[in-house]
Amino acid sequence: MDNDTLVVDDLSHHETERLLEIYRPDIFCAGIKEKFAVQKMGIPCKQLHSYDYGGPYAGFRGAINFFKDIDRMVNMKIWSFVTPPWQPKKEQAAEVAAD
Amino acid sequence: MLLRHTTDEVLERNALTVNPAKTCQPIGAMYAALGIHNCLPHSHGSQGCCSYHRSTLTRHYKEPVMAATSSFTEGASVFGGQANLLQAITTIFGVYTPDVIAVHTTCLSETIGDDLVQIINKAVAEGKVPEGKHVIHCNTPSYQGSHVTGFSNMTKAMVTYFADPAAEKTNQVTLFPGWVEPSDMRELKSLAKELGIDVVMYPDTSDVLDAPQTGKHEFYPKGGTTVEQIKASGGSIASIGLGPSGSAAAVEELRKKCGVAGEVMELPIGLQATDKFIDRLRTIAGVSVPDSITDERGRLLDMISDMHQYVHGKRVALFGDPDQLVSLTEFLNLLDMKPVYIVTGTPTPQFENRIRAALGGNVPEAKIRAGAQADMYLIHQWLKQETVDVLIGNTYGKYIARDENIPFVRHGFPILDRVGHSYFPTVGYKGGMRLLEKILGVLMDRQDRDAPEESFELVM
Repeated sequence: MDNDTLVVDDLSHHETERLLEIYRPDIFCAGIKEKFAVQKMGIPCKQLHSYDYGGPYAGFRGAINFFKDIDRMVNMKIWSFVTPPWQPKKEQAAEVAAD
Repeated sequence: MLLRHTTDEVLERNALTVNPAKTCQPIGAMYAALGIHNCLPHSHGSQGCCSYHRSTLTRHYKEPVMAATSSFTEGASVFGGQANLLQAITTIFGVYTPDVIAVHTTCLSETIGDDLVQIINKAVAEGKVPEGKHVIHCNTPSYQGSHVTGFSNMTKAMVTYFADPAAEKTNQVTLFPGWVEPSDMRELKSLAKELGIDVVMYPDTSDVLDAPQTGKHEFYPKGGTTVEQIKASGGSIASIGLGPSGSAAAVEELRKKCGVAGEVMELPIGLQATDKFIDRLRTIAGVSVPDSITDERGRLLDMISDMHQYVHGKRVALFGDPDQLVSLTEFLNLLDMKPVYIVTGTPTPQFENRIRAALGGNVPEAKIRAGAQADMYLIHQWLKQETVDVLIGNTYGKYIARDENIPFVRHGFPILDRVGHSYFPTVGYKGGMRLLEKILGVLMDRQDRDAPEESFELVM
């Protein structure tokens, strides 16, 4: 594992939320109970128990399945439409707040 | 295999249409006229035209559709229909007492060359049009354009005859909804109201073709835009026409006649087109978007992000009317679906460019055709070459869907074998959710039907 990789066991919901705010990952992997809370933050969430009823992910063919699923989730167009045109973009809003 | 003779070999044709993806101009004029309050549409031609249009509208809406006809016989076909129309105007105002008779022509009266302006002027001069009542008209030869053209022509005629250049300037926006369902018109008005904007919208078929069951038949239901409202639209601060094919002519006419600045937008079907519509309305009227609308938008977004995995990458074939197809394509593209075949029988300038713009550079392999030879036979041939995961179109698509075993979503006109289109909008954010629900429904039903026992899933 690379340096600065963060490993946390037995994450609480509060810790999850803080980590997502700080790191804004491109994708988060967890289970069904986390999935929609994470996605409400505008971050795609892959279920690792059910594979979101996809998969299999084992073996070489599974690796291809996994790649396709992650590619789909990270690149889906809808994430760039989260802010309506009549509201400032999230980053702009943050800058305004920082000023 | 009702269409078993369809082959996958496409031969270029220039004189033959097989199973057209459009219908006649007059039915659009009739539909538009029903969106004027206390108006009786009138078909200037033989009985068969009127009968066909009334039947199809009735079957689509499961509602009474009242319209009159000049009842041409051999005599009128030779000598012209003036006598018939003058008699019709007298009878209609005497017996059925509408505020407006909205006359459209037919192929027959167009070919004879009946001059509607002259006939209407004669009726007025002879006192056949009572004080405060109106006869308006538009020309709807079906050897040009399609039902959408007829709708556009009648909407433009409403401006020509009624919009008042001297109307008091008011802080209202004139909205031309384009050919959409009564449910859509209701939704457009409701969105404007939520934004706090006064709109005058015409035509408006809500409360006309979705009338409640009360135990009493209202010959003129309570809906429809009144003549007074249409007159006042000449004083609006601006106009918006939704869908170039259905509304651009009216926008331009209102600008020319009353100096109302107007613009034409795509139909607000799907997230992006609705965003543009809401954003434009709020900018024109200088209002802020209430949380209720932003939240509704958010619910559509949430549904898309939750269900994306079931729709992404799916190939879609669409046929129908140009304005609907452009916005539907944009929405499907946003869902990461692949609209690969898009066909409209309505001759539409710039159709391919509009569709390509809606695709934003995606799906370069998409086949796009408009006009007389862009028919259902052609789209079926393309489907034989390479099939799709979903077919979207009006009821006539069911033959193709059955033969090719393709999940089928009904959208457009006419829908003769399902209900819902009168009551649940496809415009706006709520409409986007309904469309997505319908697409997901057919895809997931198919998955459930076809899944082998070992992979038949409770949760999908």
